This record gives sequence, C-alpha cells and structure tokens, in this order.
Amino acid sequence: MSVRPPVTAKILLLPSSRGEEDASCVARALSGERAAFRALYDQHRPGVHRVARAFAALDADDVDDVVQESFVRAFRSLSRLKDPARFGPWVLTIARNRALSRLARRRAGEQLAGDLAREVEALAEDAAAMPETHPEAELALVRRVIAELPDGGEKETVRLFYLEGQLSAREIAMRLGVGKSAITMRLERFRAKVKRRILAEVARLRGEGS
Amino acid sequence: MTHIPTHLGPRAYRRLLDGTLEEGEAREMARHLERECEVCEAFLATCGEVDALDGQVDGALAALSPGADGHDLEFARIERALRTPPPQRRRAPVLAVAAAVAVAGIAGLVASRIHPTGGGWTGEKGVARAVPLRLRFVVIEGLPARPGVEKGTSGEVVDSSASLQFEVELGRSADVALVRVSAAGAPEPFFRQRLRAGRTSVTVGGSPAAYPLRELAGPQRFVAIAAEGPLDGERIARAAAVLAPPGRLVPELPGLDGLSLDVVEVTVR
Repeated sequence: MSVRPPVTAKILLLPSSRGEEDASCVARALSGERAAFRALYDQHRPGVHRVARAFAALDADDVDDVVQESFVRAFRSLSRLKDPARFGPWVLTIARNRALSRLARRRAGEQLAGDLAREVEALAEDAAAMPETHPEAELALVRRVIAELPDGGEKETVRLFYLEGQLSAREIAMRLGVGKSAITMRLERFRAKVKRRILAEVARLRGEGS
Repeated sequence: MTHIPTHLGPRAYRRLLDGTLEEGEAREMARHLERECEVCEAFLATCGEVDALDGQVDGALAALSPGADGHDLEFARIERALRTPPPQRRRAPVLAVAAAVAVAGIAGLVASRIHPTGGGWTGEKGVARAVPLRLRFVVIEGLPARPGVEKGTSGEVVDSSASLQFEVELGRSADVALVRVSAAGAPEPFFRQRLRAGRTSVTVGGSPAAYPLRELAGPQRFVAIAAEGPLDGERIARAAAVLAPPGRLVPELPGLDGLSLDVVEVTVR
C-alpha cells in the first residue's frame, strides 16, 4: 500500500479496527456463538435504529420492527456476507431497505414492496465491492459537511437528529412545527451531500486502482 | 477512454460502485464530485435502489453521536424470530384486536374494572431487569357496532368514552400484573396471569378485554409488572404504591426489587 500524505479532507486506505472486530464476531457467530450475535447487535443497533428513525412516516413501533427485521435478515444471511469486516455498512443498508420497503408497502401494496426489496445477498456483494475507507476520516468529512451548511432549517434538523441524536425525525417535526415529510426531505438532502463527498473519495480511490 | 457525462447518471454511478469505471474516468468523476453539485446531489437523493454506498454513508452518520442502545427484550425477539422459519410478522395485533372486538362487541369484552394502574416512562422500551417486558396498547373508540381501533401512544390524550386494549410482550415466561395508577386514589390491579414468552393480548375468560376509561379523568398510568417467580397481591401492591404519577419512575424505587416494569400513560379528557 502506498503511503500518502495526510490530506485533511481525504479518506485514507487504512484497515478499520471496528471492521476487524466485526469480522471476528461474524466468524464466531457463524460457529454458533450466541455472544457474538449479541456483540454484533449491541455494536450496530444504535446505527440501525437511527437509520429507521430518519423516516418520519415511521412511528416508534415501525422503527422497532425495522430494527428487528434488519438483524434477523442479516443474521440469517451471515454466511453470504462476502466481506465480514463490512457487517456494519451491510446491516445499515438492510435497515434502509427495510424502512423503504415498509413505506412502499404502505403506499402501494404488497407487490411493490416485493419489487423494491433487494435480496440481502445482493447487498452483501455490493458491500464487498466497495473500497475500504477509514471511519475517522469519514466522520471528519461528515462534520465538515455539517459545518458548511448555511444556518437555517436544514442545519437545525441535522443538528437535532444527528448531533444531539435524541429525537426521531417525527419528534423533530413536532418540535419545529414542520411537516413530517419536510423533515425527511431535509435529512435526505443532507445525506445526499454526504453521499456526494464520500462518493468522491470512492472515485478517487478507484482512480488509484483500488 | 469512454466518454462519461459530467454529472452522475445511473450507469456511471453503478460502474463507479462496482469498480468497473476506468481509472481515468474515476479520477475525472472524483474531481467533479469534490465540488458542490446540486445536480449530482439530486441524483444521489433520488437514485432509488439502496446500495453499499448508503451503508457507508449511514455508518459515517451513525458515528456523529451515540444512538439508542439495544436491550434484552429486542434481542430476545430477534432470537425468537431466528428460531422460526420465514418472518411473516406484520402489523397484525391492531387488526387482530379490531377483528376480535368487532365480532364480540365491545360491551361483552370489557374487562371487569377492578383497579387499574398507570406508569411513567414512555413505554417505548421496557426496563429490562429480571424479565424483558414491553407493554403496548390500542385505543378503541366509537360505537360498539363499528369500533375504531388506533394504535396507542404513551402520553396521548384519550376521550373518556374510549377503552384501551393491552398487549404484553415478554422475553421469557413470567407472572404478569397490569395495574392502573392515578395521582389520586388507590392503585387498581386489573389483570394477573402467568404468560408465556412472546406477545399476548390481554384477555378475560378467553375473550379479548378492553379497559374502559369512563369515569376517569386526568393522567392515568398503566403499568405492567412482571416477575419470573410468583407475583402475589402483596408484592403488586407494594410496587404499585410507588408508581403514581407524576413521580418519576426509576428502577431504584423501593418495592421494585427483582421486578420488571413497563409503563404507558394516557390523559383522559
């Protein structure tokens, strides 16, 4: 691996210790160790919960269902995860998929939900194809995106949801006196900015042959 | 080199993710994406399918602040689901209650009002102590012939003409009591039974039972109390005595040793 100078905005190609721990837990879980399933659940439940809570159209029970379904699906398909170190991003992807499927089912009936839901196996392959990035650098990048947001409703929503982390999107809508869909939209718009910046890093790494 | 559009499109995006975009194209795309671009952000916000980039982004966002920790009851639910073949669980409870109520008629289903009790934290998560426990409820309103059934939310205001149907979820089998507690008056236990692990709708004599709110006013706590061992009347009374609103409910309160509690609260108007 080539050593690159520490450029502030860049995500470095370093192994993540979190990923290593996850890989170890996945291996132990596959051998039937209950404590390893629990460790994976404890480690990633907060993130999975947050993904579901960002959809203001989901109530607290829906969110619980999404969390449960996500872990059940992930644990059932654990052996198909091509890169066990990427359990975290994988289960978050499943959670997002579950939340969207639930909303689609509500909007358009069971058939559409079936069409929308991608199999966890396909998501497992996607996860393995991504270049490895450094979580701390990603976090710094996200903080920078937040700092660059102009003051206003979107920044306030992001602050309440991601930085304070106590309220769901639905609760933020009530607190700010804004429609639920507006809050979901603000969070999605912010996610798109983060996505663009992280994708830029993915592209940079691809450009270097990663 | 194949030409790639300046802005992201479905094809370039997919090739970028799966690593089939040529290195030169990837570099060009990286340079483009490093700059503010509303077109690309709009594409990324709406490009539909959930993929690995979503997982990566959500992972980075999750690191911004600590989220809600897991708990024994939820993990037990996951383990139970893993032991059973394909998950078919849908939002059945509300419908099940509605159907049951519609068939039997509300009047005949109402549990005998003995003495309800209420509770203080949100009820969104049970306090997992001896037995993982969660209490949910639905609000039944309207005419007995055409009852309206809505999922209940702790903290909501409910009309005194409504009734509440409770569902208890346990991580393992336990003795369970439901008690109503209000600011004034003695706690009222109205249900006591040994229940199995999983979700159980409260029934009386085998029929779904709803708790009527008529003649009540103001904040009412409904508390589920569970113990692995026997839960006698004296123990229930001791626990209920410290649970009246508006006091804060904390596990350290006297009388709660070894008990699991979950609470929902409604204000009756």
